[in-house]
Amino acid sequence: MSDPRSASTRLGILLSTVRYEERRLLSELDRRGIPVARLDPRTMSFGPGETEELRGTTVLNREISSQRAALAGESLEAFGARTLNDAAAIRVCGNKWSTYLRLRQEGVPTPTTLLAPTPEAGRAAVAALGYPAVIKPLSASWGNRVSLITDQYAAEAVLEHCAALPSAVARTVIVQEAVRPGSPDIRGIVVDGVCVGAITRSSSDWRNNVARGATVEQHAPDEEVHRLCVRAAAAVGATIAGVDLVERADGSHTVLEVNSRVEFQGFERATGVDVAARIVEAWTAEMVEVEEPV
Amino acid sequence: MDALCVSCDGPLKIPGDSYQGEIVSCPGCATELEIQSVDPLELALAPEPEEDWGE
Repeated sequence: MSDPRSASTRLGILLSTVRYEERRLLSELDRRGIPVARLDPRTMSFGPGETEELRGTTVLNREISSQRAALAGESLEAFGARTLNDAAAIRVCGNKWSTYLRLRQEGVPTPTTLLAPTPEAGRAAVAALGYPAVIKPLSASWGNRVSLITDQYAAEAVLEHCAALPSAVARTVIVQEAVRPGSPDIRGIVVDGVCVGAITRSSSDWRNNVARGATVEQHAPDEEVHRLCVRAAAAVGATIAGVDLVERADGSHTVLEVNSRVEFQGFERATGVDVAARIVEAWTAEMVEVEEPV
Repeated sequence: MDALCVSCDGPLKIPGDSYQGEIVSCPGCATELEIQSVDPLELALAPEPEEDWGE
């Protein structure tokens, strides 16, 4: 492993907004005396003069915008940077259908999911899965526009609204089997092939996103959950991942989604696990010596 | 660090260990502000959350 404080190694962090998580990461680097270059994707055009320093830089992708995270990640790689998570994982995790396909291909248990590019396909998908079902946009976070469909009238209303949206991507949805909606779910965090812990999330809403006010507590150590989290992260190619699971009525677990730029404020509070330190360790372990031009 | 809100011009304190890019809230008018620079201290209105923001 290269010395992260050496002048011949470089760390970069891709971000625009500094949330709790980015503050923790930057503080951890400061504490260790490791310099980092800030890369703001809002202002990066990757033109002449902007890309020379990128070669050999190991960049942690913490951009809050899914679109910018994917575009900048891909661009960084093209100009010789190493990225964590890489652009392929960012793209897969940013698309719920792609995530479902990867999980399914790798044999990771995940709820039955159908693609609905049109309202007609959506109606057929809901009819096939039965009620309740869940309609999700292809790429939304924090539970936004995720709808629990309890009857035909709700299905019609949501599909009609989706059809009226202005972009083809926004009009495309997935329809997913609802697994014990309203019950707590589980969030596990994986760093470099290790599940560092898990929390249970509960909410008065049927969605358990911390961003929507869900309460969290440490999930009792559970080998099956840890194993599934690691398998799910590997299936989407993510070195760092937040894996959401839910327990079925029979006690088995199924993976709902995988997040590539995981938020961990509630997780650290509930578990006491220093996620920022674990990420910094994985990040600096990826660093390489940069050969300076003679 | 002492600063003035760019929205209401009221006073606010920015913690000394702040980072560029952090979002702070004005205690007077509740407007969210982005720290655009720490040294010298520069604040601007925080960006509105976009539909593709998240994890």
